[in-house]
Amino acid sequence: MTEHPPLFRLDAHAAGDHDAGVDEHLSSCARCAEYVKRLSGAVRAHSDREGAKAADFVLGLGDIRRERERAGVSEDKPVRASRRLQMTLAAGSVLAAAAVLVLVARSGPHLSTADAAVGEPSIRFKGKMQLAIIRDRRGEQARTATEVRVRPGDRLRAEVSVDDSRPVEIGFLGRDGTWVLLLAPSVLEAGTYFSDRAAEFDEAPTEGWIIAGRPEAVDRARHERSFADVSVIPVVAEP
Amino acid sequence: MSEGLSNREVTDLYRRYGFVLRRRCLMVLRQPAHVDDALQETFLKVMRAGAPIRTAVEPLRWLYRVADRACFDLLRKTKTRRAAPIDDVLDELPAHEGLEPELRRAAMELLDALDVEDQQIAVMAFLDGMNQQEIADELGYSRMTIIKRVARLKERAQRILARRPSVVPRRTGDPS
Repeated sequence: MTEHPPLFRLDAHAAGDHDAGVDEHLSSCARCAEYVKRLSGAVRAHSDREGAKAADFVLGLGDIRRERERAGVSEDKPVRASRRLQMTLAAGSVLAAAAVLVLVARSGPHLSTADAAVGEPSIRFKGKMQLAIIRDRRGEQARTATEVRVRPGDRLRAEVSVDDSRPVEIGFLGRDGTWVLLLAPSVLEAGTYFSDRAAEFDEAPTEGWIIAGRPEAVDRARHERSFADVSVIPVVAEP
Repeated sequence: MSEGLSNREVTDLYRRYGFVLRRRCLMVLRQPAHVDDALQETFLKVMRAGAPIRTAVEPLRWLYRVADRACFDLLRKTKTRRAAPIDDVLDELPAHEGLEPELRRAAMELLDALDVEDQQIAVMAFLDGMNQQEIADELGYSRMTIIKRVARLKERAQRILARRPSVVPRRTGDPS
């Protein structure tokens, strides 16, 4: 239609894809030059303002894909963005290193209760299942029942206490959907148990949750990020 | 079946092109309420089958085509009558002879009534400002076919313009 570069070339140039042909055109076309200049500024401002949300946006897309696969919905059927937003919000705060998660679950010697019982009195539980995490950092162990902070090389093992016989499954759910099984579904009698596997964090620890509960509730938590029926301890990467 | 992209690759694309893609969806849809849906569908498609973008010479052109199709799908499914936004993002585009803002606007309003192929041609001609040969090359038609079809689309767009009582000057401003 015109001798000017197509819009997608101007926009790409403004978004940072250098285009020598566009550069040349801009030197002789004030209107296009003004357009690219304003758009470049807007792109930069948006990147500064919204760039950190990119990981959340993409994690939300992953949730939608899994939901569609589970529901047998065609990939082409749109889902309202509000649902994505809800999922993104449910996923919590920004996770910059989500895509570089390396998490290894490995078996190892069980931690003794004596070693594990750091910072809290002896375990008391009644009625509800109690969950705690033992963090092993270069041989130094710490126990927490609220939130656990991890660095590269840390290992996490779960401790669970039940006061009656019940089926239990425990695992680590990364914010990017990664699932690492720590305790396969088992029927536990009343008592305190450690997971038979530990999660070890590689150089770029991901964040997520240690989840414990009945296998069906754990499955729901994994796929719907619905934590109402499970015990959860957030895992947060240390800066 | 095409290969998809990793989360990291999609995140990088979103960071680099998210703003202009959202803006593109707004230009085609002209319904802010559906823009997030279109953007989401665009990136879902990229996540699922976006491997070709790794070797694309013009990644944004490729992404715009994906976004355009997502918008066309939404136009077909939502079937809501679109109204010209008060702050029309189309007014931010450079105005050139033969591609005036009013004509662009009318062509985008026309999209509701077109089939997918004409929608593509309308977007390429009146939004991207591609010439007939470029459109013919991309769609695999002869240049003559595209000339005729663009001419028909232009006539229809001009009829829309003619029905308007007057042309209201629109505000120009920074890209949103």
